[in-house]
Amino acid sequence: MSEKKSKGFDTKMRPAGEMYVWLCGMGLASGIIMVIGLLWIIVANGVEVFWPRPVYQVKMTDGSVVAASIVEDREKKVAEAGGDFKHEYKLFTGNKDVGPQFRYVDHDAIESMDVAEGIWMADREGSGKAIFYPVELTLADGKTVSAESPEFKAELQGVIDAAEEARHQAEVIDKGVIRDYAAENKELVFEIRLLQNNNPDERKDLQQMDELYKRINMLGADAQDQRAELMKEYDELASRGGPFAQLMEIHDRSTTLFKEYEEYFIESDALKASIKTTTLRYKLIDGTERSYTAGEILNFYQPNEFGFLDKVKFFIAHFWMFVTDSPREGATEGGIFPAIIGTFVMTVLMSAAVMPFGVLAAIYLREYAAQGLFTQAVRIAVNNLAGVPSIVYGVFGLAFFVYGMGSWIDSGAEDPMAVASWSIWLIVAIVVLVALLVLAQEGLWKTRTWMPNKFRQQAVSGLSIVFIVLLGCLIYYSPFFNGFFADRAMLNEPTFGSGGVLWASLTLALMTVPVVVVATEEALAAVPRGVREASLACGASKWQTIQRIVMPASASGILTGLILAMARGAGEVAPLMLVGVINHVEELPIDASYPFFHFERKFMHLGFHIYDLGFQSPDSEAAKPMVFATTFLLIVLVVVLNLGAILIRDHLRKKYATGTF
Amino acid sequence: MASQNPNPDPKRFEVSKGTLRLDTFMTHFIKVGGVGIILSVFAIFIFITIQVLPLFQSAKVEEAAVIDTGVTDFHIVGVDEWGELPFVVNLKDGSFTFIDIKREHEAKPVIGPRGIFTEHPKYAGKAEFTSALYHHKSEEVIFGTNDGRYTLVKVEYTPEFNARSERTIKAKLSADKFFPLGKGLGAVQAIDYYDADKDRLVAALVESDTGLQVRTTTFKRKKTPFGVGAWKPADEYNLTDQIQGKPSKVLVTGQGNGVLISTVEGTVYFFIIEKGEIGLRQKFQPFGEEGIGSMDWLLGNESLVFTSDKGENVIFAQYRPEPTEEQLASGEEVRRQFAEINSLPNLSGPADLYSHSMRNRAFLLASGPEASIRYGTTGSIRWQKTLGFTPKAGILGSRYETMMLADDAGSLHFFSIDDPHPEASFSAFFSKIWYEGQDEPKYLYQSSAADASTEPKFSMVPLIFGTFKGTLYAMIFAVPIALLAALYTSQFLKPEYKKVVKPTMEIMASLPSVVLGFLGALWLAPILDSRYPSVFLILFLLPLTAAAVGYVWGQLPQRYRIYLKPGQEFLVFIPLLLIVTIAGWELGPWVESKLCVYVDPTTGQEIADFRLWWPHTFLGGNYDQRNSMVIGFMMGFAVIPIIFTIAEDAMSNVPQFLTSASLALGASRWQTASRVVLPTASPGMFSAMMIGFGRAVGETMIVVMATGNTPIMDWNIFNGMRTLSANIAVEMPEAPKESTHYRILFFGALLLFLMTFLVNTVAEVARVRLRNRYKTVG
Repeated sequence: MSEKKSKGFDTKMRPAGEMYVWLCGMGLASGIIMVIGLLWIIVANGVEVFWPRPVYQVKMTDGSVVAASIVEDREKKVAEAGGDFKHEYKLFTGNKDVGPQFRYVDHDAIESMDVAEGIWMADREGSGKAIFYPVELTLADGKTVSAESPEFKAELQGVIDAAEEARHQAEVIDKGVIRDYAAENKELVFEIRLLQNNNPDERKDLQQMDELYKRINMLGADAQDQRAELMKEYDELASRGGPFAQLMEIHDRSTTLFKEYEEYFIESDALKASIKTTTLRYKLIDGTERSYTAGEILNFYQPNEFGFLDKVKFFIAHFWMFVTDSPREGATEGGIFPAIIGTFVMTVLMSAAVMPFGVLAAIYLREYAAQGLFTQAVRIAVNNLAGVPSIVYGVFGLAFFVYGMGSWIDSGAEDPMAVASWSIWLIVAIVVLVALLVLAQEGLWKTRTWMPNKFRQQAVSGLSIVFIVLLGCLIYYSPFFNGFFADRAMLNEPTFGSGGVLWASLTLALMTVPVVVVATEEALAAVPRGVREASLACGASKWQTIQRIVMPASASGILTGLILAMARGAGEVAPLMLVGVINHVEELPIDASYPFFHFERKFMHLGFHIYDLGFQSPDSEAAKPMVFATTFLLIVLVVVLNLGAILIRDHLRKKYATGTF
Repeated sequence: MASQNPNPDPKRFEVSKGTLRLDTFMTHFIKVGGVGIILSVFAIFIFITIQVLPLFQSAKVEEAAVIDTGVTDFHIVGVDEWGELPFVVNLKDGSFTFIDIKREHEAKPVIGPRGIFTEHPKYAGKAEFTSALYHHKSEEVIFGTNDGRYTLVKVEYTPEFNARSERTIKAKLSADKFFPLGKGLGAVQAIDYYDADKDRLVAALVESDTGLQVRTTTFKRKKTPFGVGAWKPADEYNLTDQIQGKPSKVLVTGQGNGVLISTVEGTVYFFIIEKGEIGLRQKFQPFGEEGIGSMDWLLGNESLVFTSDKGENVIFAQYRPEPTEEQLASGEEVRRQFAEINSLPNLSGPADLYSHSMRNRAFLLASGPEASIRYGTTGSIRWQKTLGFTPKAGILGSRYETMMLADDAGSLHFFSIDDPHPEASFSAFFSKIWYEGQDEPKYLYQSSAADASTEPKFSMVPLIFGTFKGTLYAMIFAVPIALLAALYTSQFLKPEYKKVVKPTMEIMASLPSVVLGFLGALWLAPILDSRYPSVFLILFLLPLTAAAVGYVWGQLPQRYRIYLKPGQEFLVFIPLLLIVTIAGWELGPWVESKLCVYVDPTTGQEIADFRLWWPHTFLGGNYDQRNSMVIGFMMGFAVIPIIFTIAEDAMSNVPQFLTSASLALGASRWQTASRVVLPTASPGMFSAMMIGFGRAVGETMIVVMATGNTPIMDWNIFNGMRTLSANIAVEMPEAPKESTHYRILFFGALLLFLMTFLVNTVAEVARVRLRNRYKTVG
């Protein structure tokens, strides 16, 4: 009996349940290793993309030779060998114009693998990377420079620089003047379509006339007979007057417009042609000779000759290119600048929308609402909205913003009210407004009422909401509004009626309102009661107290909420897929053409870029490095935002931990 | 001096009017604004519900106009695709009376400029017609004559557009020759046919001297590049002897190789023609002993709609039954046969009138004055009404937007049908449905139909199942790690470490799900693909090692134990964990070669490959590279930090005096944690799991990217699933606005909303109650 008792009290001081504590420790350790491991994988893979890899001369057992860098050394199960593992290399051989860029080669199939001395790599416009030995460069004037000659590199660099300059100039013209032309021409085309649409009786003939005009313009200078024939037909139609005369007038304008811009087209074409005047002859590692337009080479380097510093330089240059360039070759090369801009514009717009609303709702909940069971219920519900799946908000955004508000802006209400019933509702709205003003005027103008009449206050608030709802309905169902872009919408070219950056931002703003509300409420609650009471005791009004005491004190908390909302918004993809994100854009949502901000435009987004490249890309192997690089960038963005929020929050906690009243 | 004034002006202490006005204004502004914002956020829910509601509305059918045709003796009503030139057929002389209809803005139909006009097809000779049947799809009428012949009249509708793109429908009638069904036959009582390029099958009930005969005749014609030859009779079958009872109706199958004959007594005979021989495939009684009132095809000629004498209504369809053991043994082919797939509410009597929609599986039945539009697949009644007249002929418009019913007096009643979502109903979403071509009722989701004859299938059950499957595997992985880590962090970890550990875990919560999905699909899945034995080994070894090390450590004398301060165990664990992981990884293939050996049945080679072995185990099931295991891991990443943070908060907030008291009474730290902290914080842990659950349920991108997105119902961990959220993300961009598909995706969103909102509310309430409990304890 006594022995048993002594067992209960362990004289060796062995605590009970140590095993379980270790089990818990394992849980934590796994969690931490998972986070660090995941971040490490993203960083390692993302950074590796820009780091130059050595190029090997790989001799196969079948006698063939390739120059390749090793992308991956991986294992695979071989059924023939009874399920044993075999290792294989994934090799990058480049030279897309010769064969596949990637090759999988078993370790057994390789005879030898040596660093290929002095081999060149080059990025080319149109066919990706090339791995080669240069042979000879033919310049525009027919002069040839052999690869052995000492000035070869300088000459080639000169050619590339000249081509780069020409390309840049052509781009300036294309993206500047010629885009203006395209925009104006688009207006004309649109006018023609509208004309055809508005004259159904003559539509066929009008279409024919337009067709004739296009054919005449397509004709070369030597086809005079045919031109005369077509012109005769055209004039015949045009002489019918009415819409035909109008069409001719539009065509005339189109012709003058083209004449006006013709020189730029010629200049741009000449610049583009100048790029193609040089040729580089080169030799692949297996000895076959090929040639390529030297002007279309973007850069060249010898990865096997790099020292560490060169590698770092190469890394920085390529990373910079990645951040500032547009995607090329189905987004497997180039950069992701439009996606960065798209994400940025969307996040900024979202913040601008979410901030005032979230803060207003939070101030109401914390400072003005009676803290009863009802408010508590509302608070819980708002909290829960943060947990509603993002895709639900996306679905809502599609139906409400895009199909509802968007098509309303485009072409007015789908089923506007009759004028009579609309007028009745208008009168109702006016009555409500008058009632509202009468009730509110005491509070607003006779400032004596320190103790507000509760009923009257509630009536004012209630009526205000009724009035706002009425006003909204009146505007939406107005029979007098036919939309700003009705013509375009009619021709099935919605402006706001299809997804765009504005709708995407508003959708995400709605999604992140609960995040901001919760964070702001917490921050407001953290402001000590004493501070408020001191302010009120000094005679400040409630609003003054909020404005000058509470808000500044909780500013960093509100900021935390905003940053969290931004981080969530920047990383979210699913709802964006429904409301305006797209995998390739020609035009950014912000540019130099009036009105500078184009909120109706579709946009690119980092997160969606990952999804699209990784899963919808036709060449997913080639896209993989880009996906990792994009992922790396997105993760850096999100982690930095979150760390910022966490730091601010900790700072906030400290501030109030010491300053309790 | 002014300061010596003993009575300052009281006005000095009054607040300025501007301040007060601003204050009052701001009070109103914030109240209205705050309530408005909160209301509008909740309006999302209402808005989505409004989008979904039309799915559950039944059809709106309204009588739009009555037009007198002037013809009384007809029992066929036909109509063109646009519903602008309907016709009635006068059986006496085989004349067609067309009614030109003008519809302005879908409003009331009125008689158009061409009025009512009668046309006679150019029949090849004189005949007296005794029966006729209209095929809506091919727009042909087959006539049977009183001397055992038949002819086909084609109604060729062509729309013509004028310069203003206004449509005029032109109709051209072309009659074929008369073909005899056999020799010495009398009046044709019922007739049906199948017509293809080179073959034609006509089945009829024909009177003869010996009584009613059932005749089936095939015709063939030659087709060459220079044109088509004339129809020539090929085979003639007399089925009369094989049928007991009085035949009442005959139908030809959709492939033109079978004939169905129903008898007044209630039996259906199903004959199949194979290699020139006709044979009885099946004999069945749709209503048992009861007689058959009507028998007609649904769209696609795969399903039969029956009504009984008493008005019962059932649908039969062909399916291929499971082979019996005898059939398996003999290798005999299993033949398709008819079985009841759906039964609908009763009508008041047998159907006198039947017409099916050309758009979907809706059909019109009328019995006496009672008319009803029903939907075959779901068995729902879209509309039912007792009319003020007895329709004797009628048709559903091709686009399922109009309906025409003719009364005895020769008037056509035009109805407009507004039923945009006939295929949707509660039973379509949540119960098993026997679709055509399936061998049993199933939950199926297949939103896009390949063609008009296969119908879209909209069961929500596979999607809900998929949602829970993904969530379950994520939770199995996440909950133990998250709760153990939370317990350790809150109770055992040194406070200095906590400052680093918590933000690290929170960073994990912020990882965008698109990143997790991408890594899961393109990084994790290929790595795991050939290493599942290793993974299982690691999952098994890890806790075992932890427990073993912990036990040994606990048994060590204290002079060794003081070297590791409490709260640092996990630091030891990080290298330990790496070692175990590597060991498990390397040992996996060895285990695989011992346990998971698959013998190739053809070569007899033994292959140690888990992927091949798995489908043949007792759990069975397919193996996909992107499977639920990958989802579990990746979604675990998303869920672990959420559960961890909330659970850790709940555990840390357990009042200090409780733990102190426990420790002071001599309890070990584990005893304190397990018997004091855990019970006190259990509502918080519950809340944490619920919120984690909510997040996993709504997770979209991970599932879209890392599974095959097939809507299957199977708990197998090595294949994928399709979740509600992924379904929306994948299909929403293709769904046309306000279509059934679009609304069904909204319905999915609504289900998701309700599920997460409910779960989160439960969790939140639990958390608030916990907080209050601490307050009272404190």
